[in-house]
Amino acid sequence: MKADYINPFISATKNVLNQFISDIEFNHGEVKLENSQFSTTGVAAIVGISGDLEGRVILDMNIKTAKRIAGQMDGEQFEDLNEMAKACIQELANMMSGKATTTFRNKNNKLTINISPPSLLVGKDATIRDSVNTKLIKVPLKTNYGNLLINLGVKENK
Amino acid sequence: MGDEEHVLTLGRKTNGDPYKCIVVDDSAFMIKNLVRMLESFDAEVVDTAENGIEAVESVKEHVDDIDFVTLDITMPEKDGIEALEEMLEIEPDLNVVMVSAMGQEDTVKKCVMKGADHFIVKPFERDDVFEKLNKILGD
Repeated sequence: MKADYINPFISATKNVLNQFISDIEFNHGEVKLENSQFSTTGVAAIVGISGDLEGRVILDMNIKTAKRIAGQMDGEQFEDLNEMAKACIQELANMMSGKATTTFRNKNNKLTINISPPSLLVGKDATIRDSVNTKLIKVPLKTNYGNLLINLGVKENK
Repeated sequence: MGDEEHVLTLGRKTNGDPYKCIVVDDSAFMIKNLVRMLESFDAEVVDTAENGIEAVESVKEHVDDIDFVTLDITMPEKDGIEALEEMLEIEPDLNVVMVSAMGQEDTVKKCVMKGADHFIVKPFERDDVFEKLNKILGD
């Protein structure tokens, strides 16, 4: 898997969040490759990717950050991570993945890429193990609303 | 999602009724967001649906009453493209605006070929949604 596959996902996450939260500021950390296992920090939105690229992307954050971001998206303050707050985070992951895969597709006309409806996993230190990929790319994204982590595992199907 | 300061209204039909619609999306957040936006345009949301099966049933029930449908593409049970085909079998002149997080050119073309009137990419701008609705309702 090429490390620069992560770039459209970083740009898309920033772009989508900026549309909902005008004063959000980003500072992304070092892009790292890791083994085929991922541990959640609290709320992980998982979007499957299929077609000429196959795998998944995970947008992970702690519950406090999820509530703050969902609150900004929905215009309400969330005391708990209720169903609407969860729906906000799922939709955030959906829009981020849609935008990123569209960027891939537009740069590579011959690629066919689809995404699945996002799933949400709530819980700390849950382990997600991938069978498709041997390496995963992760990038921490620090914001003034809390820290996010993008974790991408895809392979090319040719 | 854009500012809410300026008033945009779709106006009324010749009989004085507001334009009526069904909102379809598998995300409760997106349904809430769209309903809020469409009501701010003075449209009336007569029903919402969370998947393609519910959406087709809703169109069957409200076909004589609705002016347009906003239809998400990526949904469980039955996706928006399949639902679009079935909706247009029920009412070939139904106005359908497809809504998707994926703005891939081939997906847009596929929807238009199958009979969709417009395509909106999420996250959408309020002015863009208004402009597209205004166009299809004015045609």
